Amino acid sequence: MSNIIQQLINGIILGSVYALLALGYTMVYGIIKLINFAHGDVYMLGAYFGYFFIQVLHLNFFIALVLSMAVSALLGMLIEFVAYRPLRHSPRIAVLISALGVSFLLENGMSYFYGSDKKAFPQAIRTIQYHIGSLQISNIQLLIISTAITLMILLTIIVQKTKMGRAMRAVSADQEAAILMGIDVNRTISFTFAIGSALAAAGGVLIGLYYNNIDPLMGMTPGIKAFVAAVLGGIGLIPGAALGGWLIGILETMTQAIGLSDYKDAVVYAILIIILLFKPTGILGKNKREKV
Amino acid sequence: MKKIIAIIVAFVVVVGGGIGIGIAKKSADKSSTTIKIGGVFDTSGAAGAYGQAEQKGADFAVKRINAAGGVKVNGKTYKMQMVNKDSKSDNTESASVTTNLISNNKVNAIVGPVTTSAVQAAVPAATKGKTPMMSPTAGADNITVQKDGKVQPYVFRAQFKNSYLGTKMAQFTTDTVKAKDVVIFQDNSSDYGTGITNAFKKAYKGNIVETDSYQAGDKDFQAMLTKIKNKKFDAIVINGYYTEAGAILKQARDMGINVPVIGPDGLGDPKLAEIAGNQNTSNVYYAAHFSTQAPATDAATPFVTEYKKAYNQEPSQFTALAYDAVYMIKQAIEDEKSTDKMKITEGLAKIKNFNGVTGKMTMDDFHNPKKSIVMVGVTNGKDTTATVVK
Amino acid sequence: MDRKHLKYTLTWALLITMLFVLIELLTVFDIIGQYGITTIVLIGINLIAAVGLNLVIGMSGQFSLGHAGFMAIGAYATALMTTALPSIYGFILSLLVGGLISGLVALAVGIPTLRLRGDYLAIATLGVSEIIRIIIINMKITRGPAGIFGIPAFVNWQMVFVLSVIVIIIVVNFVRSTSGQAIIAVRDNDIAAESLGINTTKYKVMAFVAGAILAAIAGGLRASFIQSVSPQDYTFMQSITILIIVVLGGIGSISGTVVTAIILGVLDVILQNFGTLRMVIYALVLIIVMIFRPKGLLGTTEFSLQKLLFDSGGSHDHNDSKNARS
Repeated sequence: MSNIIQQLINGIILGSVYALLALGYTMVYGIIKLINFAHGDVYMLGAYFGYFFIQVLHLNFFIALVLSMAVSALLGMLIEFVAYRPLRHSPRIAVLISALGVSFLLENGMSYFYGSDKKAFPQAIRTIQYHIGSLQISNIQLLIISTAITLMILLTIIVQKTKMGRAMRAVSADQEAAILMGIDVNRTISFTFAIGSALAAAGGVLIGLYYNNIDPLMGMTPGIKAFVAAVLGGIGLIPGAALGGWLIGILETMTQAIGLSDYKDAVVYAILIIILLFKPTGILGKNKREKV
Repeated sequence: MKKIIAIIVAFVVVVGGGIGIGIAKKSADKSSTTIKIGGVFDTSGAAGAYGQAEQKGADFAVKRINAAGGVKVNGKTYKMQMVNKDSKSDNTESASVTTNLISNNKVNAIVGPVTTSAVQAAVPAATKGKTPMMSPTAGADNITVQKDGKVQPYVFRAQFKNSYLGTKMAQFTTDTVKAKDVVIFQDNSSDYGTGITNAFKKAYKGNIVETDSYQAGDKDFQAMLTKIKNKKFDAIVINGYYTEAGAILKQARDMGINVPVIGPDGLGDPKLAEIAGNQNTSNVYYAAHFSTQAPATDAATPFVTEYKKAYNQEPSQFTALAYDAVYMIKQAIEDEKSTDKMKITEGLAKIKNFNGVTGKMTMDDFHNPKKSIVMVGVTNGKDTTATVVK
Repeated sequence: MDRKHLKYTLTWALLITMLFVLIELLTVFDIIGQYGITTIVLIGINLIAAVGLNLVIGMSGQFSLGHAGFMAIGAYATALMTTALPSIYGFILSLLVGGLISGLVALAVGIPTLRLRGDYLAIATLGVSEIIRIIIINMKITRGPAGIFGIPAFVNWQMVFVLSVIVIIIVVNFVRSTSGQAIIAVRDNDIAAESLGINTTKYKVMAFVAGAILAAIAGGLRASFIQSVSPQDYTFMQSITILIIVVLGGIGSISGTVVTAIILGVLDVILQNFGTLRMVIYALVLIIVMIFRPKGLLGTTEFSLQKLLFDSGGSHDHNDSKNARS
């Protein structure tokens, strides 16, 4: 029994990172209907920025975390400006390919300049294990969960309460109408990328600290999983992304716990497909009838 | 109608010109004083880290050979030259690159590819092109064997066969670590992990408590480790590469699992201790091709010192194997006194007591090097012991 | 009209024959060497897969990220069957069986998902493709992650050339047929389709199944040509490679797909020499092409012989594909 609870905790920790990534996916998709394949690579770069701030500049972990979020936010805006904005009125699939191009560029650019070998992430915070009965959790795991939840709350406040947040929702609901209401669409989209990238970077730095290794391809698989998480929860919905992230984390852990580790990813995809068949817009999504 | 005639005329001119140039190119016979070695390495993509390490090893070998005066054949001195091409961790690309090196670059021999499946894809190309191909690190038993049980004439390797590695690891686990119950973690995304696991299972006399798989690129092993935490076992066997093994090691030690960890040569990289953390990298044993702790031959120590001087980093097992692959080709050329591809192939098959960085090697009938396995023990991230497994 | 049409067809046939003879001569005189032949075959195989995918995207307006899965089915069908039955008949049979299995899987996936709007086909196919790969890794008969090798070689460049031509002719004719044009016209507007009495889902599923079959054939050809298969060949990246050919060429433009498959094939030849830098260059090419030619190199237009050779100003819109996409 305690094993099951421990596995559940493992799943939630793993899922927290997926959730952080899925939030970025979902926001970008909500606003410009783009599957941003480069998102996982921003997460990777976030981890490298964190590495740089801690290893080279010897900054405190939390300062490094905030700084790398800030730098990644700028990077996200830059990517949007260079690779997506010129394609605003092009077919959606053209933007998708451009996103793939950015993804390849970031992955292979890093691997060209820094080698594709793994780098050990500096252990800025010493791991301390806490034992509660037979359960075990470390300070870093707690840090991951609490950072994820804090950032999600912060994001909800931004989206619900601020002027920019309202603009984001407006652009996402109806871009044409938003323009008529005097909303600067370009600025709003730019802001969305900044927020999404900052969240991804936070995930990257936390993962770097937790697993102690980073490499140029580290964003590939989590990127796809986070995308799946966003769809599972209901793409475009912030609570959906969080839910989807945790769900996938728990699912993965549980399939391993029951001895299906060979089919870990297959189970996740199978459940995704089944859910889509019954609820095409994801768990939290509302079924919209086509307007006639 | 005029346009159609124009097209036909243009066509005839192009074809005629092309053939003319081709024949002219062919007749221009060249007597060169370089020996070209083709390098098929995955320097981009998923296997990029391993490919880059091997490319460095091969380049370093060529640099040293040339610095030492090149290759002398029948009184003539040849320079060696690496022609490296990237196969981007893609098997089709590996076949295509191999063909390119053979038919366009006219290489004398090939070093690479890195992985078993890439070698499998490149074998037909090498065979068609009658060019010897020496893979530094492909492990699957059957890559050097044809369907009918005969040896693949042009395929060689510097690496242990997976089955040999698995068997010897099992022997070491019983005899030296004295483990009666083990847990096995295998990398399920390549033949390397599963191949060694199968051989290990066959040879191991103790009890296998649990076998669990992961994929290359996985970072989270909490679920796998939680599952076994409360079971009774004396050792963990990790059949995979240092990247994931390092993460498993760290997470296991954090969880308080302190049993010995045993792995194949894939764990042999200084990065293992960096990823796991030095304090977590104790009681770890891996199959090594070379170790400064117990240098297999007198070639090992100078290689390590020179390499560190040149690249300012420790060489890994991958680097050393690629380095030896190039030197074996050189040996074959000198033995046969010819730079001809067929002669090199014959020479490689006859290699005997070759003094490599990774051991004293003799090619067996199936083009696998016979060399002893050294199990290196690691304490606090440093190689401390070395046990030769006979 | 009929005579003109005949002339037009004959000219195409002449051009294709000339290309065939050109390659034949280049190989006979050993000018392009084995590597040239390999490159031509690989381009042809990618072409067959990409034409199939172009049909799916062009007809359904949704994109699939699962082409690799269908290629894997074909590749393994050929690998297993020709190993057991090493003759040219076994090979042809294996292509048919691979196509059949792949088509059935596509049918099962396509019927529910193609009804939906948005990017659901992409996600569902991504999932299916990964599931196929994971099953292959874990099955005994497919020999796990090591894959199968020593597959008998039946593929030569002539076969791939002829098959590519046949596939292109069939697809182009289907797209230009009345129903093909109708589907494309109403693809993005279900209401218009309903008012025309067209069951769009039916045609979308048909296109999807056809795409899957072509992918399986491409996979089978590649397995026999490379003489080995392994699950690593059919990851998400493989689907992306094919998708890139289609989008770069222009969705709905078959000639665009042909041109891009050739350009990218040749680009690969050059990039092999760049080591780690290769993918950086490739990435930059993708971004730049998309920014300057967002609708693909050829956009939605088809290369038209009629225009080039027989036209003196007048327009023949029956040749200009009308599948504009916005």
